[in-house]
Amino acid sequence: MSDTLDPIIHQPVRLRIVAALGALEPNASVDFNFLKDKLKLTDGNLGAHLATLEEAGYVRAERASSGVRPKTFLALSDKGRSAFSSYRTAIERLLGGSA
Amino acid sequence: MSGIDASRVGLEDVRQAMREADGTGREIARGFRGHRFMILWGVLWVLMPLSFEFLPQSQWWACPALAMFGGVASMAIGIWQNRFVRSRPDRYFQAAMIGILAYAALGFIVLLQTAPGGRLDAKIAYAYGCLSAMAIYVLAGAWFRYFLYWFGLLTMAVTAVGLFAFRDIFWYWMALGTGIPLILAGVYERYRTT
Repeated sequence: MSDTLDPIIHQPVRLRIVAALGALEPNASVDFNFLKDKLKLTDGNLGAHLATLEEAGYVRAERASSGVRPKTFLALSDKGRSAFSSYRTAIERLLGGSA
Repeated sequence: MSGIDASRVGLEDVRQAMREADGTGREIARGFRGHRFMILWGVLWVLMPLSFEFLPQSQWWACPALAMFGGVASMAIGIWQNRFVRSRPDRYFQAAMIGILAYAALGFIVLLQTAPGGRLDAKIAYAYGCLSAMAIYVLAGAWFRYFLYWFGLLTMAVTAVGLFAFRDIFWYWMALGTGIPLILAGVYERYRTT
């Protein structure tokens, strides 16, 4: 029997997004542009993958007005944390616990 | 939800992606812990007692001025950090912290009543201020980070020992016994991997 991996998370860019957000404290959120710079992505690329993650309920986006330009802060939802935890468990099983 | 059959997956590619993703996430998390505040106040906890040691008594205002600078700098750091990573305030923690601050402020007023002519000994006043600040570290540690809890208790003990057993060298004691450890705690907080 083969392990199955969540296709929402199992995509290189989305995996990096979920892992980056998963490393933050549960009550913390990160600015969209800051995350984009850290992950070295374009606006479009990050936005498209975030839309997929938001639709799946894995990511929570909070729009905030900050000075002149509105900002978007991103955080992993409880569902997203649970899904990522399951994904890591599946990976560790596949890699024999050495992930 | 249907998943991907992992037997078709390049496991090495997955391993590499996981490592890179973990690294990015840890880098983000490490960059926005409380280390900047701890290092800032660690430096001030070295300078404030030494200002009493090296400056004339007429310049007693240097210590509260440094504390005010620390307050303003802390606000600036908080505003700057909030642009990138922000946390939802824990209302219960905020309420508990307000309680401690109110107790500390009122306690200081009560303490002043015991001072002859309303002039409190500088070492007693400084020790009282430090104990109040360290109580907040204990509170923060109980809420967020266990090592801060023990750090706060330890520095409270250091303050008490300094006031009662090493009063002659109290200012040096406090600079080395509370300021340096707070700087080191900030460095640890920045680079810890857990």
